[in-house]
Amino acid sequence: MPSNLLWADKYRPKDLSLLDYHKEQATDLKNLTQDGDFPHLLVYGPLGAGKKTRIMCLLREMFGPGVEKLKEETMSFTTPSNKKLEILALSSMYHIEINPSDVGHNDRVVIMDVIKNVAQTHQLNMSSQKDFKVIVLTDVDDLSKDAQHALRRTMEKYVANCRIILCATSISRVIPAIRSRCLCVRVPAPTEGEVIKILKNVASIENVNLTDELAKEIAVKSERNLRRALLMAEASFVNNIRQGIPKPDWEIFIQKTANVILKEQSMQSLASVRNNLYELIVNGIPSEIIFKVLLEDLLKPCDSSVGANIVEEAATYQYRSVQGNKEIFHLEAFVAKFMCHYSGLVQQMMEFF
Amino acid sequence: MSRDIRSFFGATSKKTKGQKNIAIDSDEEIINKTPKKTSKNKKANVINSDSEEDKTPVKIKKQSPNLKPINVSDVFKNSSIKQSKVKEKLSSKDSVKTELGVHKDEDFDKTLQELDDDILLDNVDVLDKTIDEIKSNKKPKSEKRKKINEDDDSSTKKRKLDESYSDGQAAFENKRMMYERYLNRGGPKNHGKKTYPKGKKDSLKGLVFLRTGVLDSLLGEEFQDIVAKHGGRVVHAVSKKVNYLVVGEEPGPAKMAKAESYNIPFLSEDEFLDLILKKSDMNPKYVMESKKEEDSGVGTSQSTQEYDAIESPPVKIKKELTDEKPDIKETNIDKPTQADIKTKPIKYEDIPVSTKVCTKNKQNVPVYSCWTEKYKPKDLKQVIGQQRPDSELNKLFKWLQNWQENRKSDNKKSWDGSHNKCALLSGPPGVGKTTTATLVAQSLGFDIVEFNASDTRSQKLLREQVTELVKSRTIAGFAEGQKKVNMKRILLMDEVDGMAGNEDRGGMQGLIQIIKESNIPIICMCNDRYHQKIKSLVNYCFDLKLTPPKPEQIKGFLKSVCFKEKINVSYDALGDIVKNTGGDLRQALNYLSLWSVDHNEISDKTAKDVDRLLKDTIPGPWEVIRRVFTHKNHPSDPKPLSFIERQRLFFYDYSIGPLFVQENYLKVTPKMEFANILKPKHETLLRLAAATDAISFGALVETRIRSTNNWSLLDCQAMYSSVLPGSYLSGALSPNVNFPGWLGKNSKRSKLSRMLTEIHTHSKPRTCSSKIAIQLDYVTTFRNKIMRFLTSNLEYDIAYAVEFLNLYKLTKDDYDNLLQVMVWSGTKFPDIPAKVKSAFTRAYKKSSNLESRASFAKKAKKTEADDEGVEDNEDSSDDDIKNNPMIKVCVRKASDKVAEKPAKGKGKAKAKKK
Repeated sequence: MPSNLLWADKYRPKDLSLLDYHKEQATDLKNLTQDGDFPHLLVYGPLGAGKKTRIMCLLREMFGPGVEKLKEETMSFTTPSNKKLEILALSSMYHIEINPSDVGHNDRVVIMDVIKNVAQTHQLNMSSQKDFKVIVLTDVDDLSKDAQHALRRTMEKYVANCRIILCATSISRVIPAIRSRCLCVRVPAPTEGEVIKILKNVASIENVNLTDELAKEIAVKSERNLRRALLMAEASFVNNIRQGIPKPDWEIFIQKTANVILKEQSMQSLASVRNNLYELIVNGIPSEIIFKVLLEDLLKPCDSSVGANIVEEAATYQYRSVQGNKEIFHLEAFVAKFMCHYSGLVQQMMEFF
Repeated sequence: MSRDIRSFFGATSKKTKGQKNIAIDSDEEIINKTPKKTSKNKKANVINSDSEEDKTPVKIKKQSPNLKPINVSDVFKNSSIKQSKVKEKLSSKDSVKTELGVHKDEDFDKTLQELDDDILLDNVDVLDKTIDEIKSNKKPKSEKRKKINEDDDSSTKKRKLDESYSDGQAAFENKRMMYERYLNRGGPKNHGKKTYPKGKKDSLKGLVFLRTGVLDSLLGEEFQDIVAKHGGRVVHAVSKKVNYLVVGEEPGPAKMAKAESYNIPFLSEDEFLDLILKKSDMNPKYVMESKKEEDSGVGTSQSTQEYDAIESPPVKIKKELTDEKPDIKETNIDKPTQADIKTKPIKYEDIPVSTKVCTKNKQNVPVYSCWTEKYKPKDLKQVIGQQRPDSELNKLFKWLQNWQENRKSDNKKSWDGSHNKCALLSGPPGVGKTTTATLVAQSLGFDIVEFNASDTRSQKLLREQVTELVKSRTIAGFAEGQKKVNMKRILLMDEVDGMAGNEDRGGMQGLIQIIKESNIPIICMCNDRYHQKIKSLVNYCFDLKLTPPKPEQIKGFLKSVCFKEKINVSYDALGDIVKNTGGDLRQALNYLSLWSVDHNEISDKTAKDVDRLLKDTIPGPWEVIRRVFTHKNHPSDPKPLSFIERQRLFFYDYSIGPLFVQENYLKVTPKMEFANILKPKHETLLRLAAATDAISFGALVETRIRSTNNWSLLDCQAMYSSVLPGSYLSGALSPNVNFPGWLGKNSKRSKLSRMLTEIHTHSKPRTCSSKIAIQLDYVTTFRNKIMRFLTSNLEYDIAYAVEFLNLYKLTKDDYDNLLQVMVWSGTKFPDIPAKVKSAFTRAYKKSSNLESRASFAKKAKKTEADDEGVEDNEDSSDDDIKNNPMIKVCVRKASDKVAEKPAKGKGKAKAKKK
């Protein structure tokens, strides 16, 4: 193995039997492929839980190591408004992996044209074991409703020629019609113990001294995100940090923002908060993550009664930000509401406005 | 009316002969039978008609029908003028004139040879009698005098007939044209404007009227009614029985001629109405009134002149100029009158009415009904607000004056624009840009060639036309007898900001090109100097910005116009007009003229209503945002915005309006209303929260609108996005309003997202993770790792960095992108020495060269494989996957880069072999 690879990639298991946790599930998946066929799958779970790892293991189980010979492929298609779009896909002999949400609101066209094309063609290679191709769609929860509706029919129609594996972080935004057409596989995040165990394991292979405390701290700070945990561990090892693992930059930045809010509740501070929020949004941090991290930081100094109200407000505005498309509007509204709550103006808020 | 047509044809003449023809009209018969007959009048008429019948009608009878048109044509020539003379004559009062008229008849032969005017005078004499009759309450004239008249008249007729006999063909043409004109003639000019007299019932008893032409205010039927009401009757054909011929505009020439030959007196409408009053023992007033009216129309009364003396100088000059027109007319006519007062006895100077009518008929001088044209400055000194020596007008004047000399000197940059070949006049509408440019050019003796938005101004056309223009010479001067041809020429490009659309494609570039090459001065004009389209032009132009004149100057000018037009208007009302038109002189004049049509008085209230008209102007988003946050009781704005108005603010531009609100609501200092209960800080917070909540909800509604095309929700969005925030946070908005940052941020966001997508797709085979994972976790790791290699000061670390990039299939661009995404204000990258940077780039290029060669090889292989057939292709791809450098094989042994290189080379070689 190339030494230069990051730990997270270097020690990714390649086979279902080599998975470190959720072994029972791994066995189930293995049994699933026993007869050489499987239904459409919807794999979901939090970031860094190992969804993609499991999908790749599954494919390898089915088709052999050929699935790891990936190549990039540019697929082009034309929107109804005659706009030419291109999307990058990774494909092997047996499967193709596309992230339709790369093209934004045109994802429906991708689903309709590209996937249909792939699905309609028979597997030419007679030597391959299966007569179907697998389509892996990532970030399905980011698909627009139109695209999802386009997908549901495709799934049934071309079931003879292709299997679709969907990958999502949460199925709440996947329409029920699709959920019912798939075998839903939830991949939960590993427990802290499992993370620590894996970290220790990796450290020993790499010949690195990893203390229990440090491993624990990494496990907590990474929020049981195994990928992050491994990256953090590597970073701390390289930087010779034995204590005080730094959080990711963006988390620190959100924390700074929260501090501004807590420090002063006024129009001016809201204006500076807006700048920070803009920065987060511009860098593409999803608003739900901003909401989540911000809320956690803001709740720290609040007592429970105020806290409940604040969580409610956050839920309201996060819902709005998902419904609407200008996150900054809703984030700002949340911050303003928080300022009122934090200043103890709940009563007045009810009275005046 | 229909019967009148017959007067154009010979057939009617027969009818006039017998008395029975009158009986055609049943009404007339009834009136005939009425026993009472005013003896004196009747008698006089009988005498008249008798004498006539003896002569003229017979004469006409004798002539063959084809002679008829000749007669008509002759009369037609004079007809219109004749009418005016009627009025004119009527207004003269002294009986001396009629005597003079008689004198004049004696040298009638002489005058006949003269111009139309003289023929007119002849007709006037015929009418004199009528006036006298009115004046003397219908006392019959001495027969002797009448006979003289008749003799002369008949002889005139004879002569005329003889003269015109020769050109029968032309006359026929004339007749046809006349008929066409008859068909097209309009209704009464001042229909319904006059109050009609209620005289005694039998005041017109026994009198027979004939109407010809369109009367000033009466329709044919109304005329008939009035006559019938007063006991008279109306006939439709000329006969001896007719007592009066009421002449309107465009009278039937045949009727006129015949009536003349019968010696029937002509009356104008006003005279006719006066006749009724007189007969019913009331004071005649109509003639007097109409005279007064017309007088005032010309507006040369002394009082106005006096007022002018008090006026501000530019206005004064202007005033004098407008007066010039009537002055010239009068003097022109006055002179001959004074020269031979004996032969031409009528005093014209008493009767400005006539001069006006004359000019109208002759169509020599256009009489503008449009005030903006009428009061347009005719001289540089009349341009309002441009009289200071440093005004834009004077700058332009100097520039143009020195234009030729400036071309010789090689002065590059100068403040007075002498190095520019083109001047750009900019300013709001109605400040006089075109007027200024035209006047300056005219005063310096330039020939003006103008292109405006009504011309197609594409690049090609401009070039063609302008070159033509520069090469050619005008011969306009020849017509006026100038010997020297005017070589000075100027090009006026009006409304250059209107150069748009497909038709004017490339017009601006063409214009600039022309300016560069031109050897004549060019003046461009536009409204908005900062318009995108003008930007390129501005560099080549001497920039002159015309500002609206001061309100006082406009007020003064309007005041003088009001005096000239006899409009009563208070100074305050004028002030309102000026204020509400915002310095637009043209619009102010237009409003004035609009209101003066109805009533010659403009009340203060009407003037205040101007702003109602101005409501229709569309404010830009910057203006709208100010109004959105206007406080209800803001002192500077006396009128609080109504709910509907606040809502309307949103609709001026509902796509950008909400963004403006969101961007700027934090700049408002809200007005506190609960100061007694709450701390101001807390109230601000509460208001803020309420406003943001509304804005957030508004954004939600907008998404719904756009995604479902449910545009009926716009009203709802107006409430949430504009009205509610505006009312929660009403107060003083800080002076520097920002453009919505959301737009910029959004585009930056999509740019960064695109970068991330690239990094994601490139590294995907290795990382096997979603875009978010790349973003949140990998980007920083990648960056740190490469940074560490580059800052380690060890040479082989650069090679490691390149290897790392290749390992994750990242390109050099991706590395640059890594330095841009997920970068926070406050994070600092370690400085990488330029040397290391270039070494890194070099190393990367070296390695990527191998890559590209490999990919080339792959391509070659592919084409070969295609030739060989599908089967082979598949085989090869199966076998050679390990050797193909474009396909990453995860289980590849490449512990160090030296080992990797030969592997790649091998792959290439193999591929080539294949």
